[in-house]
Amino acid sequence: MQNACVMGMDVLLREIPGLINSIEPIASDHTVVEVAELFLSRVYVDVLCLPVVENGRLIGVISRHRFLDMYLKDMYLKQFAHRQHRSIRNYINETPLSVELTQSLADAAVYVAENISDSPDFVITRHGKYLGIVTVKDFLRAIDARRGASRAALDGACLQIRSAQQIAVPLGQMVAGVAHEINAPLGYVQNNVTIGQALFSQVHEMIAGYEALVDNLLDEHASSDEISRQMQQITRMRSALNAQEMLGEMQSLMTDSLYGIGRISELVQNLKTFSRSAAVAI
Amino acid sequence: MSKPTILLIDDEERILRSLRMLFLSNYNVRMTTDPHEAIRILKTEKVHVIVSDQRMPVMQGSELLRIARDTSPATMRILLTGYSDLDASIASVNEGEVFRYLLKPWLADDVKSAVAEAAAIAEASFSVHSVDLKSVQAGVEHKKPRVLIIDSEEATSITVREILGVRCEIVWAYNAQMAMEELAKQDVSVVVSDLMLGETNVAYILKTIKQLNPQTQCIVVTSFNDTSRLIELINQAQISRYLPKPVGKNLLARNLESMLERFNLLRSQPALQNRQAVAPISDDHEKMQSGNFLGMIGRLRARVAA
Repeated sequence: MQNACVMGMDVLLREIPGLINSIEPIASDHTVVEVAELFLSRVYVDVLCLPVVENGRLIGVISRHRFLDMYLKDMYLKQFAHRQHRSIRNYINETPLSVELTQSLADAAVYVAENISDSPDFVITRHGKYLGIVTVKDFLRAIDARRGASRAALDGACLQIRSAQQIAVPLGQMVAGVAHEINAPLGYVQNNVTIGQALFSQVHEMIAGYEALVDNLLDEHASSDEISRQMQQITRMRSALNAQEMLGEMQSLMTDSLYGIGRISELVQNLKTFSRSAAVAI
Repeated sequence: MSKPTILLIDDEERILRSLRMLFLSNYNVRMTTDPHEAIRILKTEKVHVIVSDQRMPVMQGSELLRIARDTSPATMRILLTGYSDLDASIASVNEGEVFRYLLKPWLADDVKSAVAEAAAIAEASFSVHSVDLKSVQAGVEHKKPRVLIIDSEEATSITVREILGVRCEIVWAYNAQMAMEELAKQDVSVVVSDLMLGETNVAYILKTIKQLNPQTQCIVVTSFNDTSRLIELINQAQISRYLPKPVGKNLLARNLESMLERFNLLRSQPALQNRQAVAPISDDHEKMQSGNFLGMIGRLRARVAA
């Protein structure tokens, strides 16, 4: 369950690069009227600041807010006509919000909240080099999406816990069922092997008796007393054990045992398949 | 003497074939997958031991053994089951009145020895059961039966008192020590006991009762539900009934009557008392407790005799 959450967060943490808006930066010798035209253009309608870059390095931003502010002041002071063709150098905010590419969305959010001044848009740099800006609109959307995703991940985790609880009861029943299914063949297989083992040693003893008798019958020096003693012993063993009949019975018990072992293997195979498909489902 | 007959019932033929081999040389083995056929065999043949599976499609083993009780009362009943569910084990006590409750997979020697013991007991029963049991049961009650209630709460003993009134001497023991003392003091006809007295497990007392007097009948009245413990009580205490707590008055009354009757029957026919012979206690701690209990009784009786 926990892994699912962590995995979800992991995906969400890689979001800064996806938000970058690689707008063309301006140089510090741009004129006020040129910047005004940029702010008024359709392309930059959502942009609240324009990055000022020289030799690839960020030197500051012109914020829409600050720009308008100064523009208004100039108009009020009737200095507008006089200033509009001057460079925007004096309009530059030289300590803009700037975030390194590798920072997480969460860290960026904290940083922006603490340092926001004239523009909530911020610049993305990599090792100090300008890459683009992130507009506050996109940033807020991303944070919102992430919260939603966290909630979804949480809901997902809850759902998993609930379904795990739902699974637990039938699982218990299934385990009991499987235990019984294995128990039945296990019962006769174990019994058959036990019986076979006992029969095996009896038959072993009997064969040893026969062999000793045959050896003595082939031996010219063997005493007839010894031979008759061995024959009596064999007669005793034969009356105690009908070897032919028992071995015949044992034959069918062997077949049954193999069948039982086959049943158990089949069940184990099914369990393996079940656990694989259950893992996929969860 | 002809070989004793053993009747095996299981819906799995391979189990029947396997068990048959265990008994082939020493028994006349009859087997069937059909409980109705088993009943027919019980009606027409002298069967010493019936060994039945519990879960079968046609009939539960405990039900078959209940019918066997009526059809052939001398036959000893053994349940051999892979399931250890509570309902089955309760039914095997109350209805089947089984001699042993054995679990699958089984150990060949365990099943063999249980069947051998049962066959010998059945052989002794046949002579008794061939006489009219009714006349035997009508035997006069020699003295007032004694009923001992072992329970930390009084409720059960009050119910027993309401049922039996002055017909019996009723004693309530609310702890293990009192229970042991009462059992040591005098013979008890019927014990009505819970399994747990507060934190104390009194199973060892129940498992020792048959050694004090094999005729004493034991009714367990409890809310405690543990199948493996119940199976132990079947085999090692041969409890006669297992009733749920709180127990209904009618249910308890019915069972008390039949247990008092059985106590009288066993007193007049001691040959039958082996039918409730117990298996040795398996739990080491309980074995020790039981030994201490028997030791205490020995000392007490020696003092009385002196």
